[in-house]
Amino acid sequence: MFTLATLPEQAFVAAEETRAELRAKESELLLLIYRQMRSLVGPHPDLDDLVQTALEQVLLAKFEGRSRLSTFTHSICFRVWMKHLRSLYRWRSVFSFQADEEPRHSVETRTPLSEVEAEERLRHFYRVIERISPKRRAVVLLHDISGEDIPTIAQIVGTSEATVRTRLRDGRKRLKELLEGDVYYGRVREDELASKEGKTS
Amino acid sequence: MSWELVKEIVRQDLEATTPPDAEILARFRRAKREAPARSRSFFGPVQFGMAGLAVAFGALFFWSTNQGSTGSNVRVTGETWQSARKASEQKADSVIEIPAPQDEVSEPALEDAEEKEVPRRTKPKSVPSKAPAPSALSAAPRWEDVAQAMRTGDESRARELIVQLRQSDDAETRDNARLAEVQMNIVVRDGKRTLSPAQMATLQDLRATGATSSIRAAARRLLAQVEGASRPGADEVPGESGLSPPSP
Repeated sequence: MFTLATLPEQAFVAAEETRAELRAKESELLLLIYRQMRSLVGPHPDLDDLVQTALEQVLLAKFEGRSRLSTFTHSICFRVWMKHLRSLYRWRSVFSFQADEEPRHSVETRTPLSEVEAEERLRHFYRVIERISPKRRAVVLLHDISGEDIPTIAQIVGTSEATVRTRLRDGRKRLKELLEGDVYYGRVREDELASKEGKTS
Repeated sequence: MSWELVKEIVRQDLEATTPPDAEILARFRRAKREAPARSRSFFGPVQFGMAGLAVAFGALFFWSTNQGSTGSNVRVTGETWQSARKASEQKADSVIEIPAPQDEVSEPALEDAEEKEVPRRTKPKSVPSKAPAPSALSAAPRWEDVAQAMRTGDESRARELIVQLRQSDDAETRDNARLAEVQMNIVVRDGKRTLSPAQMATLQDLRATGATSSIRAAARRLLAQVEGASRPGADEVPGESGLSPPSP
């Protein structure tokens, strides 16, 4: 049974066959790209458009099997996202507008309060992390949120491992400063401290 | 603050708020179905209006960058076309006057114009024998020289020019030159309407294969006159064909 999880590295040799297989597994690919893109951009209003663009590029690209398919798709997601950010910055430099904070496809079927809170907290986190430079942000998100290792991140962003480590260190440092005394994660810290104190006592 | 805890919370939140697979797939399928409709609605009235405005501005820009001395300073007056032509031959710094449409031009003005322009706009039936063939208008400068040479009595110069015209690339000019050469030979040779066999052959050729109908008609008339003159008692009608010999 062909699944992306069990996909061996040398599974795709011939590009055309690869493309055909990818097309056949389009749904599976879509879900993978959706999760990868969502971890990069968060609950962004343009998430669906970015996923669609990335999916098209993955289906049109020539995957040669030199890396894992997830690394390949992740690198495409990263490039699509960076391109989107560049165009967004250019747009913002010309026009001043208030971005729609609400996602276009809001959660309709899930109404529990905990999930609403989780979404709000997540949105706040991505608002905060947006203040870090995109390259550092990408490395932090890929490493700490998506769980990729340093060599894979180096492949995804197209730099050396040393650069990735530097960006990760700087990004974490900046993020720590930003989350210092934060409304959401400051309370988390208090809860954490309280729980630790409770355990020790 | 523990970054480990924060990132764990973010991971959990991401996992918790990710829609189910079925919902994601359904959403993208719906978007795929709606894509053609969205592309159709792209060219709505607003887009067409903007495209029209863009075209209008482009045309305005093109016009403004290409308007020269013929666009900005043209004033339509009731003058005849001759005055317009004369004005256009003047320097470009002056205002060019363009004639009004023909129906606005008075009849006497047109008549005056024709009288003034007789040498250039000669018609075969009203032109004296020294004038070139009717369609010589197309090669105006050189035919003018021929006419001028003939008016001043410089026969050799006229012949020379006609020989040059006979070598023209234009078939009409060439045939006119051949015809004029034959006419000159008739006129110049001591008043007798005789032609050599070669010139007769030229005339017959022009009558059959002349470039224009006027050339063929002129050759036909000329042949008739020459043949009529060769018959005893025949007389020509002066001024009919413009081929009457000059009075001694």
